[in-house]
Amino acid sequence: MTTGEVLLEVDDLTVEFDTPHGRVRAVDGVSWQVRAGETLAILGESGSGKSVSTQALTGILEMPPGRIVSGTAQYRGQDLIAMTTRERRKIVGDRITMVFQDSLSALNPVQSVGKQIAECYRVHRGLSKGDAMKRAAEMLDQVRIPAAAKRVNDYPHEFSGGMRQRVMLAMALALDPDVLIADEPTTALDVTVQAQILELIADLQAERDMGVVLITHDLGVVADVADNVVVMYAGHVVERAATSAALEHPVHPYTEGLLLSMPSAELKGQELPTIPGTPPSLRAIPSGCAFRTRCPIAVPECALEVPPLLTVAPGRDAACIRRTSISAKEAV
Amino acid sequence: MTRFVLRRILAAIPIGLIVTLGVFALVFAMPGDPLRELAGDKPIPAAVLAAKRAQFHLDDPFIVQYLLSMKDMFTGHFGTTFAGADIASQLRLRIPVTLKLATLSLALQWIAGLLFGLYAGFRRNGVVDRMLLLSTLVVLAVPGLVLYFAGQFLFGVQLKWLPVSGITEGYPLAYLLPATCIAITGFAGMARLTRTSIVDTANADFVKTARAKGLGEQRILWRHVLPNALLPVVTLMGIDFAGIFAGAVLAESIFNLPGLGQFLFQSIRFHEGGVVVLLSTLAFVMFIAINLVVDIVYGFIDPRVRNV
Amino acid sequence: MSEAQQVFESETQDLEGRTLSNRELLRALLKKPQFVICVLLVVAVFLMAAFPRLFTSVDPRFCELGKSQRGREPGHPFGFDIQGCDYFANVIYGARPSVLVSLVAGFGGFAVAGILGLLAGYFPGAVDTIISRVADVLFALPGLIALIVILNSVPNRSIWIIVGIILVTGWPQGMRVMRSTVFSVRNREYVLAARSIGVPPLRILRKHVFPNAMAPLLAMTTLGIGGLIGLEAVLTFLGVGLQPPSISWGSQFGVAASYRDSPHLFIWPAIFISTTTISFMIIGDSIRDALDPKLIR
Repeated sequence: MTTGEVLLEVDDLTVEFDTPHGRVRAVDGVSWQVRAGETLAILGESGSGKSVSTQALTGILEMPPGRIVSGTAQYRGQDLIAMTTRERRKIVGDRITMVFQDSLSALNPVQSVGKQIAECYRVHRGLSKGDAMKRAAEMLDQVRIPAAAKRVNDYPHEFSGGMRQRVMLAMALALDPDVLIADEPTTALDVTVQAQILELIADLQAERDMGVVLITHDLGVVADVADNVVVMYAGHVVERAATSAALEHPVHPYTEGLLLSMPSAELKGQELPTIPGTPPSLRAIPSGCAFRTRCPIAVPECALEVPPLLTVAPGRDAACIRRTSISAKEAV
Repeated sequence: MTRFVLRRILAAIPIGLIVTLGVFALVFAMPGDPLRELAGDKPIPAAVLAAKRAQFHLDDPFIVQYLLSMKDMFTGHFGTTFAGADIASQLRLRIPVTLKLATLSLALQWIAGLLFGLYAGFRRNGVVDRMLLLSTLVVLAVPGLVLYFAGQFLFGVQLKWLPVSGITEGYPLAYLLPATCIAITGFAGMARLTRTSIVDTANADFVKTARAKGLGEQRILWRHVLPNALLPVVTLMGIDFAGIFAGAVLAESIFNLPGLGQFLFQSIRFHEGGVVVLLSTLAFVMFIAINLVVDIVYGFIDPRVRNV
Repeated sequence: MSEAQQVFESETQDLEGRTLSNRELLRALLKKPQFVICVLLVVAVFLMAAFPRLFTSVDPRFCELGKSQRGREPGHPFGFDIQGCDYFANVIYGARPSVLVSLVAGFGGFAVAGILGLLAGYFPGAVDTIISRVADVLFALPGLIALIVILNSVPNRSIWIIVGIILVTGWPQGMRVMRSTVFSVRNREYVLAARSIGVPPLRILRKHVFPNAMAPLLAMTTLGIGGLIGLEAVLTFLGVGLQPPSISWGSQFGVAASYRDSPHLFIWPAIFISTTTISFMIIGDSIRDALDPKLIR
């Protein structure tokens, strides 16, 4: 269990989008925190609001149509959401940095990768062009890109997918940030490359005692690298726990469904269970508990109000009125 | 980079050969007497015909005809028209006229197109943007012919702000109206493409990355958005530049400017088929050369095309 | 020409994979008043071309030289041309070449560019190489000048020859659009699935690839029809298009250019041709909007 300093603390974050068909709530009352040296996974399907929440707090969400309705995001006691754009820019990009999924479109195609990494040093540290490029080459070496000094002048399209994701990492880690937000960093990659990148993130994290927020839809990735996990469904946090605890004793029926639908050796030869139905459109979220239409243990009361996130055991929260404690789960 | 330039040049050469050869085959390999065809039903003295046969090397085999004519063209031996005028001296008089018209109209349309396109792209759905989309739709829809005539009629004949035709008023006054007419048709495409490109690029992922790096808006604009957004615009500028002669044909014919375009127009009217072929071939060679230059320039600004 | 097409190409790129569920598309289009108005205008012009007698009972070739260039008078709303013929009848009869160009060059261009693009995109290798190299050569020509030099060497030019040569030189742009959409469609799961169960290539092209790859080309074609009508007029004006005694809007411009003191000679055909081309443009614009996934829902 990590006990480092709390670096980033998100509280009651709510984000809405204005669409031609009315207002859509993509993130609803989300709270989580990440400590130095900790890896926090935010797990959810596409459309569950996992990316929107981090984009909103770092100020890179398009606003409008997006809008932060409520909530705070404290970085060492300073609220990122309340501060001005100018103040936020000193933290985002320097102390808090991000890595995105599709490295081909996330890198500027007409600038050499070295220049794009050097830009961080130029803007935030005021280094000269030459020094910045030298540091950029060192960074490429740190993310284990072969012949880094030569490749620093290459363009993004000249790298393979895995190498490009390393470039993204080099750019994000250039200024030795406190928090790295990695938004599906390995989704577009082969499984073997995926493992290399995750290992690289873990190594660099250990070196720097950095907090990592890992956004993913892949339960396997969570199991491999995350200390704690936040499960999101239709804009809500439905479960929050230490990874090992969540994997062994999932409380919320959605988390349970996800775990059951993981292929494993014991289930060999049997039909793989799935969660029935499809995730709801954000425009038509069911009343009350958003998961009730797909839930095996739903009761009529589930439709009445949004279940609050309750502490079911020390260090674990879940949002299900049928399971307000670990023992309640065993009883059902 | 050197390899890229060489490859482009090597690719342009066969195309130039095919095109010029094609024109020659079209004109001189036709059944019957090509000179008679080129001259239409005009009566031509036998002596002139004989001189023409020699000029076009018509008594040689086709491929020799082609090679000799190409050699003549590149060494400036253009010969005379059926009517006896020296084509080379005509070209010397006319090229500056077309150049002045081309530079003025390109400058007008690029500046106006970029300014409006950029503004509309950044203030999407604003008043200027909506006006621009509507007005460019109309400009793209109205035939150039109608636009040129309407401009001439309105500003030349009715309002008398600018000369109706000819170049007696000198540069730039006499060129202003035709250049503006060419520029308006070009401006519409330019502004629309710039706008679309800016809107698309502003939503690109790498702009999000730049924002996540904590860069200021100005830096994002100049270092990340514009260099990418202007790539298709540069392509269009190249097309504009290479295609300017086609625009000049129409504008010079209507506004009676004694440039190359008008020369082509008059040659069609007076059945000077030889001159039509000559001017077209020159236009093709220029077009291919300009496209080559544009391609190479593009290679310098977009690293992705270099190793294609 | 190619410049406007470049713009349309960039504006129609996102339409890939939009299939035309015809009834839905039609319903979306009919909701737009500008689309309905423009369709009615185009229908009116088509009627003018097919049955000019519905609009005027005057013979356009009946002329009284004494009335040359005269303005309007009762029974002759547009006045007279230089030969003293009724100008209204002349403008009405002048619709036919423009309509033929729009229909034949529009449909024909769509078919030629579509088929060649399908073949080039679906059969990489020899077929693609041949089609693409030919397109490269045609791309290396300035369109208008190429048309001038080719048409100038054709002695008797009918509207069919003009349209034919426009088609022969004009297909590469549309072909490239089609080819690139086919390229991205050809490895989609539904195509692979069809191939895996042994559906013959032509049927795959017809049933699976074409419906999913046609939208960008369709939008580009409708947006470009107005330009083709203008092109026919330009060619005729320059003297390499239709020859006298054919009546067309282009030849009327050619005459008007020499008689600047009689603006009605220019104004009436200009109004008719512009209305037609703008109508086509707005129809194309509406179709593109109706197909655009970014604007749907």
